[in-house]
Amino acid sequence: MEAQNRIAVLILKQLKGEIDSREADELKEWINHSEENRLLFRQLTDPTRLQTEFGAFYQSRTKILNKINEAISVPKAVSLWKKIAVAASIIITVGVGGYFYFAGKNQNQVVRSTPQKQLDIQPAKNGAILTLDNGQQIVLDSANNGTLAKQGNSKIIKQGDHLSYSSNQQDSASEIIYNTITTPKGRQYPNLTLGDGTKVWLDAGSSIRFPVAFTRNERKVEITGQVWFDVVHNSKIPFKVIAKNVEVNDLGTEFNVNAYDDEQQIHVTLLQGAISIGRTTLKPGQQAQITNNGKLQLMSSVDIEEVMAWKNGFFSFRQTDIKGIMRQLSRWYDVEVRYENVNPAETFTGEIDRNLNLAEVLKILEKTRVHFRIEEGRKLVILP
Amino acid sequence: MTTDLIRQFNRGHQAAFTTIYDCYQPAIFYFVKKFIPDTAEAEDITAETFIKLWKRRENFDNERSIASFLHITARNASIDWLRSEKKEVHNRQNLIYLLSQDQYTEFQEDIKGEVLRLIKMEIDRLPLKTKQVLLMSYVEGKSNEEIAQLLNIRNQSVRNHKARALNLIRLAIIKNKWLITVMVIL
Repeated sequence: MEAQNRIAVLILKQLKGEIDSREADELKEWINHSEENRLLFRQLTDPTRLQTEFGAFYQSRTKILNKINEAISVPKAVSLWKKIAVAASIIITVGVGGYFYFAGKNQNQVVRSTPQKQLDIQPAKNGAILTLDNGQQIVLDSANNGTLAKQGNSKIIKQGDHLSYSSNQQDSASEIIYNTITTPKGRQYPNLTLGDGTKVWLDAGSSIRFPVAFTRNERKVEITGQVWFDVVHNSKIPFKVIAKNVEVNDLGTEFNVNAYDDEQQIHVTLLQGAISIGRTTLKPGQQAQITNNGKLQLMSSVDIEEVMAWKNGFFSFRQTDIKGIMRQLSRWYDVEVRYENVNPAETFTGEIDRNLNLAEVLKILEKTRVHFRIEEGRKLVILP
Repeated sequence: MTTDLIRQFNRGHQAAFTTIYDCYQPAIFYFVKKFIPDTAEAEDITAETFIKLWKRRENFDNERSIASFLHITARNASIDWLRSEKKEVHNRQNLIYLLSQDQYTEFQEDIKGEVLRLIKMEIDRLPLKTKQVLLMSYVEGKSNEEIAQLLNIRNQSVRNHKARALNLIRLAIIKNKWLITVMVIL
């Protein structure tokens, strides 16, 4: 296998244009060794044939993976939060580690720990609670696929981790029906499509209240926590997001709102299109920071990667203090944080995979002289 | 493959399993396909092989044991399939050939699988949406309109993602081939 892998690496280098003359000679020798080799080389380096090969490969890869997932995913019984949480929460792990990407990409550093037994907590999962107009609550983790409910003229359709509202327009005469989707700590909901086709992603500890069908003159939703929007533009019916004391008016676009109660400011970041808050209009890449008393500051050079890291599966810290980090971990891992005498000046910079278990994340953070202990009952203690 | 990854796999993490899958699926699939050229059959056998791996996930403590389990399981499954389809001459020939080979014979298919795996890894480095756009366009030949609809993003975003992919991808062979399509659509 070693020799085969060596040839594969050389072929890839050739494809990337990174092959040096010694390696080129080595590859040439292999090509000339047999007609079979020559044909294989041609197959993998001819653009059209490679496209076909890679296409076939990728489609098979996906098909096989789907088959496997179908076979191994256990159909979830109708159970409630507690049951799922308990089953998934506390497990014993032996030895942990992970990758910690420092601000500069070239300084990747692998952190490896020594084996030891400790309590651990798994990362957040996809899931949420849907509250219907009449107050009935549906746990989306365990609900069956298909039509969950009918609200007015709209149907609520669940397909795996995706929830969508059929796009019937609201009868202007009848009363508007509201639904709410809430992600507790330890749950996120990445795939909600509203009645107008707008896509919504809820981070952990967030909520959105929205009309099941939009009227002819307004689309208005209310949120808490952190929510990303990709709004289907309709100049005749503006889309409004209310977060605490802030109203964001969408002019057709993709943006992120971070409005957690325990954060000092609301951050509204525009990724594409245009939005306005009061009289301030944002350009793509800009962020509005709004304090609790309503003062708005426009930031032009925000790090979009950092703002959107949560959606891409990372925690991203840029000189974030320990409490700022712990607020994020607390939501994602559903843990209560207690401090035992910590130096508040200590800050961290880096990205950590949100799919890691809590103990693995803490191991990475321990590089910076702060120590941790996980206690029973989802408690995290910060030690000096 | 790190020991952490294997431990996560032992504990039943699907993400860890998928990482292992992506590491070995090309080798296993092209090995099976060498003897059973029918793509759908080869896919089934590959899927069965990985399902067996998942069911025994607690039993592996290193990469080597995973690799040899997969190879042996795929080999045995291929032999079984060829035995059951012995009426066909080429199946009979493949069966005899496969039985005559050592378990660890190296095949050319290993190289092909490995190259395709490495290309996939290059593509996996792209940001998620950009990657989806590239795959839909390059692999599935979908139009901007189709992609925009499927991903529920604007047409302009599709073009932006394409431009970004062209900027980031380090594989000239894909870039140049695909550029022709992109140029037409941009």
